[in-house]
Amino acid sequence: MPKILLVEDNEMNRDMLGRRLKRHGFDLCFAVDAPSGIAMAGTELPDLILMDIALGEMDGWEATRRIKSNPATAEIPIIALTAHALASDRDKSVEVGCADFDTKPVDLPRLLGKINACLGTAPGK
Amino acid sequence: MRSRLRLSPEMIYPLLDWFIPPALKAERGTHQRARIFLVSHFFGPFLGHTITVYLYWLDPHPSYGLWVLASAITIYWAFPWLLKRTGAFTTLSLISVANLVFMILWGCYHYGGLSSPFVAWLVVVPLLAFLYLGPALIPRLMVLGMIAGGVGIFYLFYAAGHSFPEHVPLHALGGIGIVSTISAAVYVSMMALYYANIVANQSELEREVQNHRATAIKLREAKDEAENANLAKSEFLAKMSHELRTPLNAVIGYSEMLLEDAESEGGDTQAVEDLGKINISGKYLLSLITDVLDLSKIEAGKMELFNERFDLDRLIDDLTAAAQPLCTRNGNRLVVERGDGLGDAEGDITKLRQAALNLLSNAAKFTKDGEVTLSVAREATPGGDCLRIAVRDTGIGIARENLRKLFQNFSQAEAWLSNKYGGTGLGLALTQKLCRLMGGDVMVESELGQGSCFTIRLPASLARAVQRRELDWAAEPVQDGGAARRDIILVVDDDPAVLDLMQRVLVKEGFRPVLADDPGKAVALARAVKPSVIVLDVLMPGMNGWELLRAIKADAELDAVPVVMLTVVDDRRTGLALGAVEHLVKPVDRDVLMRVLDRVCPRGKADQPAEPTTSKPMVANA
Repeated sequence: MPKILLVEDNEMNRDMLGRRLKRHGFDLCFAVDAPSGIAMAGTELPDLILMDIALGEMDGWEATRRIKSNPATAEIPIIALTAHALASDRDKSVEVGCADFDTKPVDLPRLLGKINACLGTAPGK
Repeated sequence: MRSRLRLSPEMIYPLLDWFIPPALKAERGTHQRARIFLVSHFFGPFLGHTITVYLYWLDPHPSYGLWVLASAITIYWAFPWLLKRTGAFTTLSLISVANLVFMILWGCYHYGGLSSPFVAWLVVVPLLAFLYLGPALIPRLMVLGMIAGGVGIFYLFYAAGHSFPEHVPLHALGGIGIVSTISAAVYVSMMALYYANIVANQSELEREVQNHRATAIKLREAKDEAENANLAKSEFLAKMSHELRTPLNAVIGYSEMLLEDAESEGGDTQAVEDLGKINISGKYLLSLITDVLDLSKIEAGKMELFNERFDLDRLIDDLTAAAQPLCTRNGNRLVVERGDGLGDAEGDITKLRQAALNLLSNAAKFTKDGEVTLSVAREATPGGDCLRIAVRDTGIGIARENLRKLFQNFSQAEAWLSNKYGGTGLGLALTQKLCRLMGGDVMVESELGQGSCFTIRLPASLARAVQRRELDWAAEPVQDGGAARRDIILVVDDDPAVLDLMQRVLVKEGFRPVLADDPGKAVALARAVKPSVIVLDVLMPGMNGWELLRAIKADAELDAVPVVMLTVVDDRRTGLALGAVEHLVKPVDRDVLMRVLDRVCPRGKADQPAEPTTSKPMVANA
C-alpha cells in the first residue's frame, strides 16, 4: 500500500483529503507545518508527498527544497498544492524540485491521476 | 458682456498680424512688442506730420530743413513692410529709434535750438525704445547711448557758439510749441493706453492659467483617489474571495465524501439527492466567487495568462461535454459546427474555455426547447490567423437598448431576468475582460424574441496576441460607412508608435492621415496639405504642443483649422483657452476620437467628391 505524506496546515482539508485518499487505497501520514513535514519525510520515508504551499512561517517551496537536498529523501516525488493557478507558482514549484503541481480545491480524479503518474515513475517503487 | 461696438485694440490685431512674420509670433512677448512697434509706426507719423504741416503753414517757402524732417517722418510708414519682408525686428527697432533721435535733434537745430518746441519729443524716445526692445540689456544701452550721443553733439554745437539757422523767427514758433507738445502727449498716451490694455489682458490670462492649474491639480488628486479606491476594492474582493473559498471547499469536499459513501452503500436515495444539491449549490457558489476573484484580479492588473499550444478539436470536445448537460436541462439541442482545418492554436486554454463556457451556459439558460449552436472557425486575416468562437441560440434575445450595458459588471439586460433565471451578471463582464486580456474581444448580435449570437474573436497565435493587446483599439472592427471619407487629418506626434496607431485607425475610417514627427515642420506642412483637422501631441521635444498650437492659431491661413490636443496629462482648459476645439487624454479611446472627428469635421463636407487619391498616407520625416 503506497504511503503518502500530506503536509497541510488546514485541519479540515487534511481530514477531508486524507480520508478520501485512504478510501482510494493509500496509507496516509500527516504533517501540520513545514518543519514537521521535513522531519516526517525523513522518518516515515513515504512514497509520495503532497505539499501545501501556504504553510505559514516556512512555505512549502522551502520545505521541498530541504527535502530534496537531503539524500535520504531526495528521491521522494512531491506534488505541490496551491490555491492559485498562477504560472509563476507552477514555475517556482518546478524550480524547487516538485514533480507536479495542482490547485486547490482538489479535483480528486485529477489529483489521483497525477499521484498515480508520479508513483508509476517513482524510483524504488 | 462686451458690447459689439466697443473699440478695443484687438480689433486691429488681424491687420497688425498680417505684417508680423510667423517666427516672431512663436514667442508671446516678441509678438506683443512687434504689435506695439506696428501701432507706433502706423499712427506716429500722422502726429509727427501735424508739426510739419504747421511749419509749412507758417513758412510756405521752407528751406531743405523741413523737407528732410518730413521725409524722416514719412519713412516710418515703410517700417511695417520692412518688418514683414525681413523679420529683423531688433535691427529695425534700433534704426527706428535712431531716426527718431535724429529727427528731433534736426528739428531743434533748425527750429529754435535748445529752446525748440521739439525738445519735448525726446521724452518719447526711451519710452518707445523700451516698448519695442523688451528686456534685453544691450539694445537698451544702445538706445540710451544714441540719445546721450545725439544730445551731446547738439550741446557741443551750442557750447561752441555755433549760430543756428533761423528759418522761422523764434517768436513765431510759440504755436508750434503747443502743437508739438499736444502731439507728443497724444502719442505717449496712445502708446500707454495700448500697453495698459495688454498688461490688463495678460494678468487676466495669468489668472485664468492659474485657475486651470488649480483645477488640474484637483482633478489629478481626485483621479488618484478614485484609482486608489478602485485598487483597494479589488484587493478587498480578492481577499474576501479567498476567505470565502476555504470554508466553501470544506462544504464541497465533505458533501462529496458523504455522497460517495451514500452511493457506495446504495442506501438512502433521498440522502443522495440532498447531498447532491448541497454539492451543486456549493460548486455554484464557488464558481461565483471565482468569477469575482477573476474580475478583481483583472481590474487590479494581476491576472496572469498561462499560454500554451492546444488542439482546437480538443477544446471543442471539452466545451461540448461541459455544455451538453446544461442544454439538456432546458430541453435544448446542442449543435456543434467545426470549421475546416482548425489545427492548433496558442493561448491560455483555461481562460478561453472559461470565456466560451460562460457564453454556452448563458445560451442554455436563456433558451428553452430550442437550439444552441457552438461554431468554431479559423479565419485568415491580413495580420495572421484569427479564432472565431460563436455561440448562437434561439432564446429570448436582448433588446437593442440593453446591448450596451450587457458587458458591465453585475448587470443583466432586465431586472426581472435575475429573478426568473438567476445569475449575477458577472459572466459576460468576465468573458469580455478575459477576451480582451487575451488580445481579442467578444461581440454580440441579438434580436428580442429571436435569439442571440455571441462571438469571441481571438488571435490564433501568441505573437499576434501581444501585438493586438498593444494596439488595442486600433484592432477593433471597422464601423459602417467609413470608407467614404476623404478628409485630411494632420497628426503631429514625436512618438512613432502613436503615429502608426493613428494612421491605421484613420485609414480604416476612411480619412487621409498626414503624419509629422517634427513639430518644427508642422506649420509648413499644414499650410501645404490644408488639413480638415490637426491632431497635436502636447509633449514633444523642441517645441511643445502648446507653442505649436499658438503658432497655428496665429497663422492667418491655419487659424480656422480645428485643432484636437492629445496629451497624457489632463490639462483640458489650457488647450481650450489657447484655441483647441477638443482635448483628449492618451491613451485615446478609438470611439471617442471618432466622435470628436465627426463633430469637428462633419460628414457632409467629406462626401464631396475629392480629387482622386489613394488612401496611402504621406509621411513627412524630420
